[in-house]
Amino acid sequence: MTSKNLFFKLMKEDFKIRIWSLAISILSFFFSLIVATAMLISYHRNMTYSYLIEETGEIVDDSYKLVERFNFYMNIKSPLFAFVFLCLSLIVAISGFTYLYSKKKVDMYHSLPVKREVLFAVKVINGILIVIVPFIICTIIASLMIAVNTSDGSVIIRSIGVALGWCVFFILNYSVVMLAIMLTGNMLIGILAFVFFSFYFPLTAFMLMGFQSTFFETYYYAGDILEKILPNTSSFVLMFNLVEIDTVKRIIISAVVSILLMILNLFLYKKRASETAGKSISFSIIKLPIKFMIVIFMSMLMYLMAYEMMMSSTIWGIFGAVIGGIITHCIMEIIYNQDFKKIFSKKIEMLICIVLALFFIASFQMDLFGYDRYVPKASDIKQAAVVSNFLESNTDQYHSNPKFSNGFYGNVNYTEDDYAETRLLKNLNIENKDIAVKIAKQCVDSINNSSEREGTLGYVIISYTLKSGRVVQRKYNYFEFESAISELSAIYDDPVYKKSMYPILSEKSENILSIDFDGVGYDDKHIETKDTKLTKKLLEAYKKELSALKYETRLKSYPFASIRFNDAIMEKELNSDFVSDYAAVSEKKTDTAYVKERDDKGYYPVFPEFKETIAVLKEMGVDVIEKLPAKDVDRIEITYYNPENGAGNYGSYTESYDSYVAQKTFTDTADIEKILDSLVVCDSAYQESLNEDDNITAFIYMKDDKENAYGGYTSYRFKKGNVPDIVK
Amino acid sequence: MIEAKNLSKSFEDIKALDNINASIRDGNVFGLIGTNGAGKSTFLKILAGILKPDTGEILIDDEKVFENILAKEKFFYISDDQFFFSNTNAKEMIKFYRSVYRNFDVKKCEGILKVLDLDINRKINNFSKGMKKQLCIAIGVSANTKYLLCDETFDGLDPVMRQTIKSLFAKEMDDRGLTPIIASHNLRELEDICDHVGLLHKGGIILSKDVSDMKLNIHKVQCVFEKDFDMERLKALDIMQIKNSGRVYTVTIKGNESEIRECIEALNPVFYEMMGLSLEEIFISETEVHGYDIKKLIF
Repeated sequence: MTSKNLFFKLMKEDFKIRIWSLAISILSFFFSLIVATAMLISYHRNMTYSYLIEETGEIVDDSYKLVERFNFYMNIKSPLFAFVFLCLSLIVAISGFTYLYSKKKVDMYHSLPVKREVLFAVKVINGILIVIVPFIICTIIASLMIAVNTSDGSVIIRSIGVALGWCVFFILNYSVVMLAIMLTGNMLIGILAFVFFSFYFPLTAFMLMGFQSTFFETYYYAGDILEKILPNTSSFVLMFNLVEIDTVKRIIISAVVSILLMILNLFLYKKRASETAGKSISFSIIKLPIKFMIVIFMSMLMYLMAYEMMMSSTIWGIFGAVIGGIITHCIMEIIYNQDFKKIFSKKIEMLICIVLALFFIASFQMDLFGYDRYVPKASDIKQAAVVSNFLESNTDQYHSNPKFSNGFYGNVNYTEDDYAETRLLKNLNIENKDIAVKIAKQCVDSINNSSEREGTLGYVIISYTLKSGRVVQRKYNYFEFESAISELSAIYDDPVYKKSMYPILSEKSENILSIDFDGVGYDDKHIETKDTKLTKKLLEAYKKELSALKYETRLKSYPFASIRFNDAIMEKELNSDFVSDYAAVSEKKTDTAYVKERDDKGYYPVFPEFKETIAVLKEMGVDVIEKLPAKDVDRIEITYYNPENGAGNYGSYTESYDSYVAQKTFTDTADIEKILDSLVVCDSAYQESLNEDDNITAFIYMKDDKENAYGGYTSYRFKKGNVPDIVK
Repeated sequence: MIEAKNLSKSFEDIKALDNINASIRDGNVFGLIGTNGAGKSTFLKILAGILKPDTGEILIDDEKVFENILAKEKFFYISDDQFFFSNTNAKEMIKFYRSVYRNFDVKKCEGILKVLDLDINRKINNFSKGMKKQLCIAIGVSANTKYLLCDETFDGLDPVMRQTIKSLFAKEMDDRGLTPIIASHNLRELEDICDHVGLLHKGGIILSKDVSDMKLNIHKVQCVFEKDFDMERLKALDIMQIKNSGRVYTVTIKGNESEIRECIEALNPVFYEMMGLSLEEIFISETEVHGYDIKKLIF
């Protein structure tokens, strides 16, 4: 008998034994694909009928919606299919390999004149075929049903592509379940091992990030290992796409890991002693490290939970850590020995686990390794980025990534959170690394000197990519701005910084389709750039003046308007069937309305110093108002905040309900004129807050007949050192 | 030929086999006797390539067994509690084994099952313990392997069935030189079938001998001497055991039958009779010589 014949004969016999798992697989896909698709088609037909009668009375071909619905249903991120494949991977792995848990079965299989590799291959391949063959067949049938109903044949190719992706995820999860079986000797412990592989590393990453964010003041980014690698070291997380990762990358990672796991499983299968059937763990060598990993994890987790629940109580935290460690160790010993009487065995190991856990906890809480104090040497830095609202507080205006999501009331077009920061920290590279180090040291000093914390607003995020490749990022929320002005100037005035911060500096005029000008009041302009020469002139003027803008100027001056250069993407968004808010979407009762959340993104400042830009704007017919006309203002109310001295300093002013706030109203046109000369007035999407005097706020009330032109009232501030005498 | 050389196997802190050396000749029925926990099943599992020895090696026709298909094709292993697929019948099990053993003889198997009166289409779950054992033997014999490893296989079989199986073995031994290796805790079960017996105790082989040699070299003589007979005169014989009840002596003697007869007759007994020894009695005598109380070991 050739080994090839033997292989196929064994496959056939193995199929017979596992016929029940094949039945479950066929049923799962019959319902989740064929029946579900039939329901989808039926639903689509009913919906189309109602829509035609009520809305238009015309026959419209909306078959694309059925394709969209099917594609959405059969998505590579679908939690339903993730669940189905998770269950099936457990079922086929159990049907194929649980014989390893029974001495009786192991005796039979391992006495046969069949190489273990062959037996392994038979079990693995049959397991894969039991799931994949019905899945692919049902996918083809389901996509054919859609194709017949929509005359769109491309859906078949797309569905098969998605199906192949799911096959990879299934094989990955199947490999992990097999690994759990290889390492254990009984079913319950095998399932626990699978739970361990599915959740241990992601949960450990989240727990460590929890410790960092709780105990480290400068925590911003935990590093690639904790943020990206550890959470994805789980087939469960990858299958359910819990930590969002690019689909292609997800599939490639899954395929590579599946192959590696299969090789590991084969190795373990060959090494696995037959006598371990029925025992808890089949390789004694892993018992101790796994116990330590779980006990220390649980001990630390219990500390964090107790600490947070009991209002940052270290005593309760220690109580939680000790109890958590003891209970987990006891459970582990019961599981390992499969004997409740062994609950308190190996007390020394238990003690070591708890002591180690407490040491790790202390290393976070007491910052034993100097996380908050860390500043690398300038010579070790390959790339450094500094992002701070002391440098630029409108980063999300320039760096926004449009995202679309399907919400309950309709689809939302929004800007991704933290996109600007993430992008800048990655791309910005300050040439003078010494400055970044100097700023970092000043920030660290601010942390150490607690008395300086009060009154220092804003943040500084510093990212270092070290020559070793390690990425370190810190966020400082306490920073003595005044003492670092020269360093901040050096960074801001660096053309490299400006080029990274302001994408408009790299923009070409031929890409600009329209311009939006947002100035004082409601009289904003949208200019279609038919005159390309003028557009070019404006863009070049703006680029020149923005590049030349100094930090020193920004400390004193203030943009009075903002401008947006719209490219094809933005123009398309502006012209889309967007509506202004969620309520409008729900009123439309269609699934094509988008909430316009990016309408006020992409604006750049126009400073009074940008004379050339202003001139070109005027040339383009824009009514540029650099200052709010005093004659249109009814009154200005000044509010004083003085947390240190209360309202007393402002003598005669009216005390408000809050003893720390005082107010004064100016109605005289001359006073208003003086205030407006110094006041920062920018009623646009772009908002500048650099070097503002936080203690004084002005509320401008327009005259009744001018309210429509300028709006009601808005609060504004003075730049530090620029408060007029009549206000002081 | 099967050879075990310095074979040792431990399970955590329990030593199941301790430096065992044994050889099993082809064409003989080898009986492995021992109490529960003596190491019989461990020895057979190592022989079947299920377990890997910690030290030493076991060779089948000079081939190592563990993960060696050539060696494994030479035997069929029947465990003390053989596994059958759930919800299956004899026919399906035969198909399975036929796919694994290249010389499997389906017709022979069906014939044996017919003789044993076992329904080939009946669910094995509904078989009694004895019927399952019979099925195992039928499949094992039909696999046409050179060796048949049986762990407590005769346990649970009624005497008639045991005789049938023994005849089956005998026929297979005659026809194709089958070598059955049978482990049992019951010495009486093996008495009339084994050619060679090994006694395992606490992981070591205390004794390993041909049954015929043992039977030919140990004899029991019942004799009556004159009143004034000097017992010292018996010392000329290689006496293993002597018991007396009045003037009637029962003596277990090592040696050739004719020589013993000659010696006894020379002592002018009033009466003497050569009696046959059961395997059990031979074991008692042999192990007592080695300082073991066999009754405590296997009865």
